[in-house]
Amino acid sequence: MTDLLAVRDLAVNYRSERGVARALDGVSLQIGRGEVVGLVGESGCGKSTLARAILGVLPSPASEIKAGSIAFGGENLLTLGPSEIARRIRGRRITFVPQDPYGSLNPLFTIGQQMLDLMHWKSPSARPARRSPWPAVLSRYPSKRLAEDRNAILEMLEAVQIPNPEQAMSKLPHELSGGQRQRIMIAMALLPQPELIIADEPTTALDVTIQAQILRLLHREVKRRQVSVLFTTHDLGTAWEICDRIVVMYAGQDVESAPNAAFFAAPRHPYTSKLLESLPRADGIAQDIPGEMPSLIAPPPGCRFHPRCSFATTECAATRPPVSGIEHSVRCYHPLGSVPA
Amino acid sequence: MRSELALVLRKLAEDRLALAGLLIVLALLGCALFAPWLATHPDAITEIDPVHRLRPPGGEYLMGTDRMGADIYSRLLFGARVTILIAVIAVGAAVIVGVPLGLIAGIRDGVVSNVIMRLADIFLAVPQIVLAIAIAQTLGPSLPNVILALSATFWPWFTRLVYAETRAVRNETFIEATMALGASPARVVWLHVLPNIISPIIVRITLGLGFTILTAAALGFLGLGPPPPTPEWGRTIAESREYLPDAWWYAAAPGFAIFLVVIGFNMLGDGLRDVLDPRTRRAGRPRD
Amino acid sequence: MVNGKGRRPGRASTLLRSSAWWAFALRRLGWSLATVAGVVAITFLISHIIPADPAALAAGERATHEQVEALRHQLGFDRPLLTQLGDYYYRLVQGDLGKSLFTSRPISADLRSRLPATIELTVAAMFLTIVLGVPIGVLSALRRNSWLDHVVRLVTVSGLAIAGFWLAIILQLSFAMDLGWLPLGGRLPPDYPPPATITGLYLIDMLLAGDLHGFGVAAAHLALPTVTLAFPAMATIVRFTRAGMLDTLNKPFVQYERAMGLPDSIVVWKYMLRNALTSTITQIGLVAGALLGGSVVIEAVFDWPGLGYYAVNSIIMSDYNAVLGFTVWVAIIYILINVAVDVLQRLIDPRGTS
Repeated sequence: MTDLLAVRDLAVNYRSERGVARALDGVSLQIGRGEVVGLVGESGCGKSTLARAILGVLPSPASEIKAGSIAFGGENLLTLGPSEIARRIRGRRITFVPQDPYGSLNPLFTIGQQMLDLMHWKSPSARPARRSPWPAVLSRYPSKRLAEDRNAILEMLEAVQIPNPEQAMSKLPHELSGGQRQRIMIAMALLPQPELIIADEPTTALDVTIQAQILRLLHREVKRRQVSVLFTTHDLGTAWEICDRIVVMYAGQDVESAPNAAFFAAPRHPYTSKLLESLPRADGIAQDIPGEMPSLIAPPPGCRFHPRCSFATTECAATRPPVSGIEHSVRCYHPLGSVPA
Repeated sequence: MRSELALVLRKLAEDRLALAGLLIVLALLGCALFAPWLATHPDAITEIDPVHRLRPPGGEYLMGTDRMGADIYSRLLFGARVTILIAVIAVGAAVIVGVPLGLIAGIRDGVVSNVIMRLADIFLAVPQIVLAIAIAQTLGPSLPNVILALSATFWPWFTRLVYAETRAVRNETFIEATMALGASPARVVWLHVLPNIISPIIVRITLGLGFTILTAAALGFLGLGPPPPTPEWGRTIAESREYLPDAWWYAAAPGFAIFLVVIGFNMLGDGLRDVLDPRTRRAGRPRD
Repeated sequence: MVNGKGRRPGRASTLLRSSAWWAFALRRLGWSLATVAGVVAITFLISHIIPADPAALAAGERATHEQVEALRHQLGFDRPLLTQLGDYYYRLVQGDLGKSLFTSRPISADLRSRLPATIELTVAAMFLTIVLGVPIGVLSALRRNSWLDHVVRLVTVSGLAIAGFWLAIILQLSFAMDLGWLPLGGRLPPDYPPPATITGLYLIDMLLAGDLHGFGVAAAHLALPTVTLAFPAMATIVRFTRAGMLDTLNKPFVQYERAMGLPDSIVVWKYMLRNALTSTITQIGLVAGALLGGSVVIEAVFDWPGLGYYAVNSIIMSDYNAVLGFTVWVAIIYILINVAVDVLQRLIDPRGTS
C-alpha cells in the first residue's frame, strides 16, 4: 500500500554538555493512510525525538539530522527549508496534539481567539500563504472566511463534546478542565483537515478516568475523517486501545513493528516480550526488565538491547540486525517464534 | 554552612563579570583606605592654589586641577572615602531598620503588621530622590544629614523584601503546624525564615550600594551633600559646570569614577543574584 | 489582532463591563487616597517636627527675630501638633501649599504653571523608553548571545550605572557645545514665541497651531533632555522585557504554537510578548517614579522649566515650603501612575497575580 509517511534510516544527534547523544540511530517507520500507529517505548527511547523530527521542530543549534529521509506525500521533508515546512506542512497537513493540555494553550488569550488565529492561517480554505511582504502579525482576517471558519470551529467543538461551544469560545484556558482542554487540542488538530496527526502522549497528563474518554474520542474522530495518526506513548494499554499498528523503539533504534493483534498475541522481539511481561497482571505479578537503558552518548554497538537480552550473541553486538518481515517486521538476529509472512 | 560558602565563592569566580565587579569594589575600598598613600598631593586637597587653577591632566596633576587649584586625582581618592562612608552607613542603617520591621510584619498578623507595611508603602509612594531632597534640605547640607535622608528612603525596600519572603515561608504547611503546636514566632524566624532571606538581602544590599552612591551623588550635585571642602564626587561635578567645555577633565573624572564604581556594584550584585538565587522567578527580577 | 470589529466582543471590552474589575479599580483608588494622606503626613513631619525651629525655617535665613516670632504665631507653630496637622490637611485639600519665599506667589500656582513642561518631558521619555526598549528587549532575547545581545547587555548595564546629571552634562558637552547639533537647554530659543497654550505641551500646541517649524524647534530642544532622562529607564525596560521573553520562550504554549506552524511574527509579537510583558508592566510604574525623580536633575542641567527645575531653585533659595509642595505633587502624580499601571495590568492578565 502507498504509505502516507515513510521515515527511512533517520539518524539524529543531540549535542549536550556531556557529549554527542545519538538519539536516533537509523530509524525507519511507515504510516499508511488512515492508519493509527502507536510508537511505544520507555522514556528516552527517542519517540519524542522522532515525532519532532517529522514535524520539523527539533531544537536548532543543539540537534542535527545526520542521515535519512522523511517521505511525506511524495516529498522528502528534510529537503524543505524550515520556513516552508512551517508554512505548508505544519498545522496544515501534519498537526500536533501535545502532551500537556495545561500549558499548551496561551493563558492570556481566549479559546476562540486562539482557534481563530489557527484558522486564519491554517484553515483548509486558506491558501498556503505565498511569502507575504507584510509580517503576519499585521494582517487582518479575510472577512469572507470569518463566518465560515467560525462555524467550522463551533462544529468541531461539538464533535469533541465541549458543552456550550459558543460560550467556550470566550473562555480563558484556565477556566476549563484538563480534559476539556485536551479535547480542544484535538479539535485544533483536526480543524485544518490534516493528513497526519502527531499525538505526543496526549493522555499522560490526564486523570485516569478521563484518559479512556479522550482516547475513544480521538479514535472516533480520526477514523471518521480518515486521518492517520502517529501516537507516541509509554503505556501499552493505551496503544492497545486505539492503535492499528504498534512500533516499538528502544534506545534510539526501532525494533519491532506489528499490527495490534499480532503484537500482543505473538511479539517477536525479546524486548517487546519483556515489555509485555512487565505489565502488571491480574495475579499481581509484574516482571522487571533487568538492567537499564543505555546512555545515548556511548551506546552499545549493534543492537542496543543486546546487553540486557538473554538471547544475545556476538552477532548482536557487532552489527545492527536488518529488518525481517513485512506486515510484522522485527530487527533481531534471534526473533521469537516462527517466521510469519 | 562553610561548604556552602565555598560553593558560592567558586561559582561566583566562574562569572567573569561578577569577578570584575568584585575587583572594582575592592579597588574602591583600597582607594579609600590608602588614599593618603595613593594620592599625589595628599596634604593639598583642601588648600587653595590659584596659580595652578584649572590645569589640564598632565605632569604632576594626573587628572588636572579644579577651580581652587587642588589636584583632582587626589581629591577623587579622598572622595572615595566619603562615597563609601555614605553608602555603607546609609544602607547599613536601612538594613538595621528595614529587616526587623519586615520580619515582624511578616510573622505576625494584625494591626502591627498592617501599620508597618502601610508605612513602607507611604515612604515608597514618593520617588526616593524626591523624598531624600525634602529631608536633606530641611536638615541642611551635611554628611550625617545625607546619610539620614538616604537611609530614611531606602529602608522600605528591605522591609518589603523581608515581608514577602517571611510570608512565603510562613505559609508553608509545616510552619503552620509548628506554630500551632506552640513554637514561638522568634524560633520560627531564626530557624526557618532567616536562612531563606539572607541571599536576597545580600543581593539587594550590593545593588543598593550602587544605587545609593548614585543618589548620594545627585544630592551632592544639588548642593545637599557634605559642604565644601569635602571632596564629594557629586558636588565636584556641580562645581565643574561653570568651567565647561574648557575644563572637561573637571567633570569627566568624578563622573567616570561614579560610573565605574556603580557598575562594579551592579555587576557584583547581578553575579551574586545568579549564584545565590538561581531559581528567582518572581515578577520583577530580571535574569540574564 | 483578529479583526472582529463588532462581531465578537474583544476581551478588553468584556472586562471593562465586568464589575469585578471596576471594584478592583475603585479599591486601588481608595488605597491611593490613603497613601497620599500618609505622604502628606510625612511631609508635615519633615517640615514641622524635624527642624529645630520650623518658624525660623519658614521665615527664611534673613528674617529678624521679631519676624520669626510673628511668623510663628501667624503660621500657628505655637499650637498643639495635632491641630497643626489638621490645619495642614485642611489647607492642602483646598490646594493651599503656602507661599513661595522666592516668587511670593502661592506655591500651588507656581507648580501648576510648571507642570506641563515636566509632563511633556516625562511622557516623551516614557514613550521613547517603551517604543525603543520593548522591541530591543525582544530582539535581544530572540538572538540570545549574539553580538546584538552582548552590545545590548553592555549598554543596559552602563545605563543603570551612569549618573543622570553627569550623562546630561556629557551629552550637553558633545552634542550642544562641541558639535552644535542640538540646543543647550530650555524648551525654546530665548526669543522664540511659545505657542498658544492649549495643552501646555509645546509639541502638541505647535502642531495644533499649524506651526511646523516651531514643532521642529521644540522637538530639537526636547531631544537631549528626553534621551538623557530615558536612558536608565530604557535599560530597565530592556532588561525586563528580555528576561520575560527568555522565560516565555520555554513555555509549552510557545512550543505548541510553533509546532502548529503559526507564523513566527505572530508567535513572537502577539502571543509571546503579551506573556512576557506582565513583569515589564509592573516595572513601568517604578520606571515612571524614576523618571519623575530623575527629572529633577535633568531639568536643572538643561534649564527645562518644569517642576524639577522649580524644586532645584527652591533648594538654592532655601524655600522649604516650595520644596515640600513639590514633594507632595510628585507623590500624587506617582501614586496615580501606579494605580493606572495596576489597573491596566489587571486588564491584560485577569488571572490576577498577588
